[in-house]
Amino acid sequence: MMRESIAAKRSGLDERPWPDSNITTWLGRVSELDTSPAPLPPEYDSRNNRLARLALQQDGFQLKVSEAIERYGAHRCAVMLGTSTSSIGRTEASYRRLEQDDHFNPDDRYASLHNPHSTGAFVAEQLGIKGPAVTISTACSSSARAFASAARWLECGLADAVVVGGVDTLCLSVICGFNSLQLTSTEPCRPFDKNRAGLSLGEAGGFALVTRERLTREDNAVALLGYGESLDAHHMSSAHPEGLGAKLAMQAAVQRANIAWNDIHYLNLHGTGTRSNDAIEGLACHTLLPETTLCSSTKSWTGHTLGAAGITEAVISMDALLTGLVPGTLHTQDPDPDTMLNILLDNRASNPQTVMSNSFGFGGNNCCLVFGKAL
Amino acid sequence: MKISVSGIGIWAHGIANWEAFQDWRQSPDTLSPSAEATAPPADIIPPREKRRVPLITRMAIEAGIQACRMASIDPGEATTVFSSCMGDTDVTDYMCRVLATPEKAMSPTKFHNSVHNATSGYWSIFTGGHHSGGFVSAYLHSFATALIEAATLTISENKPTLLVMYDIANRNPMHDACPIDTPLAYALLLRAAGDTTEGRNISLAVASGIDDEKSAHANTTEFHFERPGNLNPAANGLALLAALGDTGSQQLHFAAGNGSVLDISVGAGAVPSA
Repeated sequence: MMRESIAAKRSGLDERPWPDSNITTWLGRVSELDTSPAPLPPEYDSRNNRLARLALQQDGFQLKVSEAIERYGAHRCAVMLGTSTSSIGRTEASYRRLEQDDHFNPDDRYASLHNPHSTGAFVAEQLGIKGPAVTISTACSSSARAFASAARWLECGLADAVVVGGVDTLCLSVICGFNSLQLTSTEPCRPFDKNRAGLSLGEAGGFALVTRERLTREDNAVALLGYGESLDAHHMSSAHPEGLGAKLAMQAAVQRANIAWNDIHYLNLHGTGTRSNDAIEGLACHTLLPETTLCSSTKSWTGHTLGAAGITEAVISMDALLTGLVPGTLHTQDPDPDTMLNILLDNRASNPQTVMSNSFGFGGNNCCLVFGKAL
Repeated sequence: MKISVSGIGIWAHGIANWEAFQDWRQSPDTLSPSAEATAPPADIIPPREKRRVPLITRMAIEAGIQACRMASIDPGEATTVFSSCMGDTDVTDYMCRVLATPEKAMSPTKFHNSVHNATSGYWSIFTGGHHSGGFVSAYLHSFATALIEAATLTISENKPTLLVMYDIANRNPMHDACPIDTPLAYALLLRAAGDTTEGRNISLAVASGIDDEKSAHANTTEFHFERPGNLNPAANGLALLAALGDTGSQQLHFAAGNGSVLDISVGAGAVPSA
């Protein structure tokens, strides 16, 4: 369905307001969570974990994990789950029905709902994984960093298969929070547009099974060729003005992938649509990449899915390798010449061999991933 | 995986640093929540910034700086892994209370402080460090998994890696979900294994196939914070600090989640010191 939406240029953003919020904004909402609210066991029941369950059910993923468990042993499989929200939506709800003397209602007293590892633990249990499960929470770079950590754990022989994932859900914390920072737009985001006015929030769940094994194109596989991670060391919610951290992360990824800059056919930009991110990311990318590189932001399809942005955009980038179709930048009409990037507006069938994906988060946390076609 | 520990830092009420920790070990019953509540110095934070920086961050920075100084390393040169079982429950509490009001008037500063890597972000700003900065968590298994993560970074990147583990006290209602009574932060500066004169060698392995009952009791702590009035799940890792405070070799086992166990062999050697 993702392939259809990309090919049809059908955005997932809509303007229905979020319950109990009067903020005007477009959101990338997973409607199934509202229309089919099948509960989970009480110690795990949160929107985030329901989305994790829904995402695990897509595309035969759970079957692939079962095969890996069968092949390597459950204890040789690990989970790396990127999230920024975890189950905080449930914590918010718990605070709305506090009992006397500031106590949680008895149904809300599960630590498994209120700690950062809520979804990571849930995913490991759902999949029957017996190796370590780790939550990675570095804001908007979380589920991109999960790929990097997975690569290292595999390299060090700690696991034979890692379930890399990312799940973040809409909640008042993020909707009110981003609004308080004046980063949200009242219209659907238009990344890298001259008239861009901010980001659109979204929610997403995604997973990838990463192994050391050499797979082929017939296996529907792609390879993680390189990763780079860095910190801006500048400000908590604004990027380094020269994109220093972004450049460091991209350079490290290219170096680790052992490729040349002009080998990168497509770059999936972080591209949130804020005036600041797009200007700085544009500057950093322009410095490093040739003008022939196709660049787009897919956040106009999904919204900014925060902790799940890494996995969402990694999957979109990897899928471009498999389908040959490079997504454009929806809603953007007038690319901002000041960003100095060659922004792809419309989808293009260009058969990329190597792709790059950027994810930059609060705290100046940057991660860049490079994927290539399996041979 | 073989790595070495060349720096240690710690901060808690009544335990201001590594020397104080070793003194406390001699009589662990003397620590109580009524131990005078002090503020962590965290002297690399400029005075004008201290007001904005949450307690959880100050504690973690204090412990991290101690470890870097002991290891004689510029803090900005370390790759970092920060970890917490519950995160900053002060800011979670603030946000959820604000969101339960009709106005929902959230402070933008508190919102950007609510990301779990806020401490990592502040650390990098005050130290100027650009190397990879992570935040990992696995609730009660946080120390074990964070140590594994830090070890893989040390080996893969061949760079010094700072691991900082921390949790703050929870007030109501969060205390109902996870009772934490006293704050604790500690840090280890890791390097690739080498000459023991540069640090204390430890060897890590993740054991597999342990049944859940065994691994649930795998944490080795002959003393700990975990008694009524003194709870803090971050204290799991103090068993490793205790072993590093002795000169003999030791075997430790930490539950690493889902039935897996982290086995640590601490080699014989000198107690790390400044």
